[in-house]
Amino acid sequence: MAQHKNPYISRVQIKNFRNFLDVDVALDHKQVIIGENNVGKTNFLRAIQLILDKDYSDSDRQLTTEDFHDSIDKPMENGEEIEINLEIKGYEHNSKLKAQFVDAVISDAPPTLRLTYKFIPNKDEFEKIINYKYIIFKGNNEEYKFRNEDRSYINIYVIRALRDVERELKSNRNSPLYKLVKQYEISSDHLEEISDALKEAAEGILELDEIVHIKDTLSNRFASLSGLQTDHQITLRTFDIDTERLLYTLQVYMGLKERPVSELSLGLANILYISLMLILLKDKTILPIIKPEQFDSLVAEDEKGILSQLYEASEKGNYILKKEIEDEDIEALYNFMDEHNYRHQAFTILAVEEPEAHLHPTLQRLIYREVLHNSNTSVIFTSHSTYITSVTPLNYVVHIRKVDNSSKVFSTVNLSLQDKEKRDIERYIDAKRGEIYFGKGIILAEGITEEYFIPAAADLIEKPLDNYGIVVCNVDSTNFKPYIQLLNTLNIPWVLFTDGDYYEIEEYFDKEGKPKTKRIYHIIDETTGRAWGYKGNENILNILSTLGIIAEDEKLDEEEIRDNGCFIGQYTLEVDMMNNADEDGIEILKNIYNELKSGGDEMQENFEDALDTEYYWSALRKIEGNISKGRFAQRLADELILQLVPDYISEGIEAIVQKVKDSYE
Amino acid sequence: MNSLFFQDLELIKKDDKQYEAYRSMENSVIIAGPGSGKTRVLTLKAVTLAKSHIHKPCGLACISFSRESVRELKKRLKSYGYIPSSKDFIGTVHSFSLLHVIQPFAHLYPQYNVIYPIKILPDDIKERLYNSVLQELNIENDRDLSLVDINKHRSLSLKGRSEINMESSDLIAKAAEIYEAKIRETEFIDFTNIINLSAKIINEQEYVRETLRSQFPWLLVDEYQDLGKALHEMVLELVFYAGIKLYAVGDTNQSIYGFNGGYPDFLLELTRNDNIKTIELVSNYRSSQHIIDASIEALNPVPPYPKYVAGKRKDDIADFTFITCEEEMEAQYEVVAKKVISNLLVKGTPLNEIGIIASSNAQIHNMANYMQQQKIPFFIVNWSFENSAVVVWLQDCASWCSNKNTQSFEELFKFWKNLVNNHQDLRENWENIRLKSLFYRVLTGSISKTNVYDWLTYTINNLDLKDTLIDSEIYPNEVGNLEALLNEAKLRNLKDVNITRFANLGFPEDQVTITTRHSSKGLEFEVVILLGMEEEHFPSFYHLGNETALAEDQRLCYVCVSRAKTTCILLRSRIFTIQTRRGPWKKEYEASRYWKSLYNRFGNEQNTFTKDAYPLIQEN
Repeated sequence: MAQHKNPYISRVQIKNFRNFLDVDVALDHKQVIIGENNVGKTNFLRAIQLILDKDYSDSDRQLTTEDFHDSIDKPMENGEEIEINLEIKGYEHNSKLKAQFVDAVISDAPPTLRLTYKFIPNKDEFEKIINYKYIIFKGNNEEYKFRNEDRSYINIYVIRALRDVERELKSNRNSPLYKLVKQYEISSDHLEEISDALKEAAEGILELDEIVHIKDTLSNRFASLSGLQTDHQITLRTFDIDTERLLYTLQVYMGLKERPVSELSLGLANILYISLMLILLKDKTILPIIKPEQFDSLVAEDEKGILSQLYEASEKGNYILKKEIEDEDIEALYNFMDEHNYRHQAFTILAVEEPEAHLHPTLQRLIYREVLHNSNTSVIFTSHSTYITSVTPLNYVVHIRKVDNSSKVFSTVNLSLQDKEKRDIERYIDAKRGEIYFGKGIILAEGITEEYFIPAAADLIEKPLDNYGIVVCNVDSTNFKPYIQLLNTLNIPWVLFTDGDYYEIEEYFDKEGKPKTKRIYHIIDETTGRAWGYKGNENILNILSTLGIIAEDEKLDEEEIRDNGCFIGQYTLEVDMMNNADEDGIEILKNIYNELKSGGDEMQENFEDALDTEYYWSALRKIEGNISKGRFAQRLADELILQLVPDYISEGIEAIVQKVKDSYE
Repeated sequence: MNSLFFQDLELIKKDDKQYEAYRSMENSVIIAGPGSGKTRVLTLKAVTLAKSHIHKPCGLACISFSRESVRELKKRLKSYGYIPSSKDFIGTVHSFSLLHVIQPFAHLYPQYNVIYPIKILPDDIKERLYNSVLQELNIENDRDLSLVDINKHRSLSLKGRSEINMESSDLIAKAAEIYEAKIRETEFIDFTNIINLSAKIINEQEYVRETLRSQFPWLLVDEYQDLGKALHEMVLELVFYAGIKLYAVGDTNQSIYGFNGGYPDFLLELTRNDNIKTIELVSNYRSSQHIIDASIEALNPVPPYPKYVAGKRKDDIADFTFITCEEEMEAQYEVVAKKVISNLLVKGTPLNEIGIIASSNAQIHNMANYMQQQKIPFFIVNWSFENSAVVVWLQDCASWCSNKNTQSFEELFKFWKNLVNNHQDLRENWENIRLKSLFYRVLTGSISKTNVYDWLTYTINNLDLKDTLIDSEIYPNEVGNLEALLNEAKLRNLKDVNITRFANLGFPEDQVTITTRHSSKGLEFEVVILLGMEEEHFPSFYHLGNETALAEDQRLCYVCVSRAKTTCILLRSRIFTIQTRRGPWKKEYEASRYWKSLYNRFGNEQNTFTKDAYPLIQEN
């Protein structure tokens, strides 16, 4: 049953507020905000809340000097301003939103609303600052105030990181369950019936001998103590339930044993809480249950007979929406209800800080995959969980990061990837658990060998990757392009390592005797005088020019390629390593082979022969054939020495470390 | 909804047609003749829709032609206990176009070239542009090409869905084109632009239609016959291409604003549409049998005809009186002031049941002079100042000063605050409460001034109203208008008058009403006195030979006669002096064709007099 997606914030601009000096970012219907601690994830939400949170008071919206960006000197003496702009899209299917926000429209293709918060000085006629005030307005005209009434149509609800879910669930009026129940407008007649029955049932207790005894004793004691006090009749009652309270008493119990919330694990209580919030925030334009009298009056308006087709009467006489409904019928029903169901309904954007709190990784992945892919409610998460980012669709990531002295916000909304590339990279991120989002710097590598080898090499040159928050991402191919796009979009520094794949061009004649050429790989430069090239360089130049980083057909020398973050070997990492090594290095390789090989001495001899005669390609084939590159690299990482590290690797590591350092100073 | 609401509801239940009109939930057009209770039906309908069918954030949309009829509408709604919400629109077609189409939407569509902030074409520039059009076309006499005709052509030439086409001359078309181009070169926009552009935007932009549909599920239109082509186009577009429900009220026979582009044909086009239900309110609860017959037989209105409701009026009073004077209008003023009114008073007709209908503002003021000499209290519908939004607000302020329950202080303050905010007034930076305190001080301080002139000077000066409004973009002519108002209060008809009188300018209180023919619409009197019933004056010399214009004059006469509940007194003069190049020329005028046909049907020796023979009845 497809339904319209709720409105969402499509753009945020922030000036001078807390961590943000000047930020302009496009957002999507769901957002996962990532970033290091203290970079401004929460303040990003606060900026939105200044405009949209209906629980904010006037004094919450009235800012102070502290709320200006640190770099601004004496802001409130110099008349500096804080400005926050929100744009909202995806509201036009609902006629009530369209009517409410006429003054906020800034475009009709696609329909877009703008809301602005400004914290500005109040000046007298001599331009002297009297005090500061905030204004929130719709569209481009400061006269069109954005008020609480507007917030009752579009708002944001933030579930904070430090939350007491148990208390929220058990509290009366604020429990999401209670609010949900209230939305159904259960008829008070039904409730009174039940509450009377409850009272009646409870009367039984009062007739128990023991209770009667207690009552009498209490009455007597009271009478004797109060002396002349004449009115000393004591009555016992069990329930004083008015119909409203009856609804508060609804509580969720879980499992076969029906355990109450207080006994649930924090994790389950969190899931329960967030699920209830999501149900609560659904678009209720289409009524799931209609009371008979309302149904009759709606049917009178229903010329096409949609209602009688899509609802069926329940035993209690209400009309219930059928489960399986075609999309086009839902569309028609929505339009009908939009016109005739006047129950006030708020469209709430749900923001959850650290939704992963207390949840097992498997559950995190399961729940948030569902929320991020299928919920109609617009949600914003701030998260440190790789489990959540790993199931986040590629376009939903927002990265907040310090650039110079203020935080900048980068989002993937406008990342332009082909569908195939997008699926590839999403699958990669899913499998690798979203690690790519969390590095301060990223090393892109093309295979398993690099994945083991590079961290070990970094340790050797005393640039331990962990200390710098650098993550090696093995993309298992030389198709670096989409990854570079993603990293550039999110403004995450990166370098990449790839093989040079030296080749020579051989000329030959085909069967018909025509001259042809082909590329020959896996040879060490034999100075044959044949034409030659590096496939790795060609691939990188191609990527850089496709991405518009360099001009088409622009040739770069090794130095310039490295300046662009790309570090390319000669042949392939293992061969370069062997080629680089002297006796000590060769010895280490021989030992590892010996240790890991499955066969006997002859196998070892063949390998050592290949190394000694500098048939490195043959040696590599033996590693692949008899051990596997991965296993070999895994062990090698432990015993690595400096001479085994090819120059392009150590330079690349130095480069990424420098980039990370630069961006954090 | 209060007891008056239910009382009036019971009243209309007694009339099948009124009740049917009230209950209709389809697209409806209510054709309502004079005295048929249309305003009551419309307001009852409006309140019912607002209470039961229109829910926030939607609102009620009520559009009418003039500020006066809007005020009447608001007053009625208030009397039924309905308080308009912030989502409602009750106002003129101009303010609807400006507030709900141009301001919120035009900026989305650069192709319409609307310049913000919107500046209304001031009168002096309008005059200059018009004169340059005349010059360009080598026209010396502005009678040959009036600005009214140019604007009418602009209104009517709007292209849209209506199939009604009105003819116009090539010269006017050319002039309209040049005039439009000249306005485009300025930074201003005029009222014709506003509604034409608004109709165009509604016609071309689906998003705008849809949004209007979400805001206003129902569109209620009063005085449909007066509203002209642009509104008609907006209505057709919104009703047939956006699904807004229409509830229009009008009377083709009372269509008298052709010079503004308001022709009965648009209303008729609605009644011909199969998807709009037409309901005719024909019972006339106002007039006597004779007056109804007179208006039908002598003036040939198109059906449906009003029907007399038995028992409403006594029929034994003489219905018609024909008085022929010798020379000039002065003779007519004199006999009215000296004899006719006095006779009516003797017969027991209250002053506020007497309406004198003249042909121009000049005539009104001359008539007023004679009344003043005879010390007969009178009330003028057309003042020398315009009843602008600011003036209406000043009246409301005066009303608050004399009785705090009549107006909301907050609303009055809001209007002033908007004026301050929209006019580069330095006080716009003040804190709200400072502004409000000042406003409160001025208004409470003004209470001690009971004389209109003193009150106006005190209030206007202490609020610095003229400084605020100088160079106004929204009200470009307002400072001049305030001068006219002050002048009226200092020297003319509002001189030495109490502020409660100013507060209630719209409503006569024990006074004879003096009005133009056009402004008489919507009023009713026991006795109507019609001045200037000479052929070539009414209908006008300039309309002879022009069938459309003649038909409109005939409808105008129908409107005037049907104002009367029981009695119509017609006056004419035989000779008027015309200034010619060769000196004054005494020209003889025949009786108006309307006089003649009424006379043929109702005239006799007992009710026909010369000025001198007309008796003065003495009180016994």
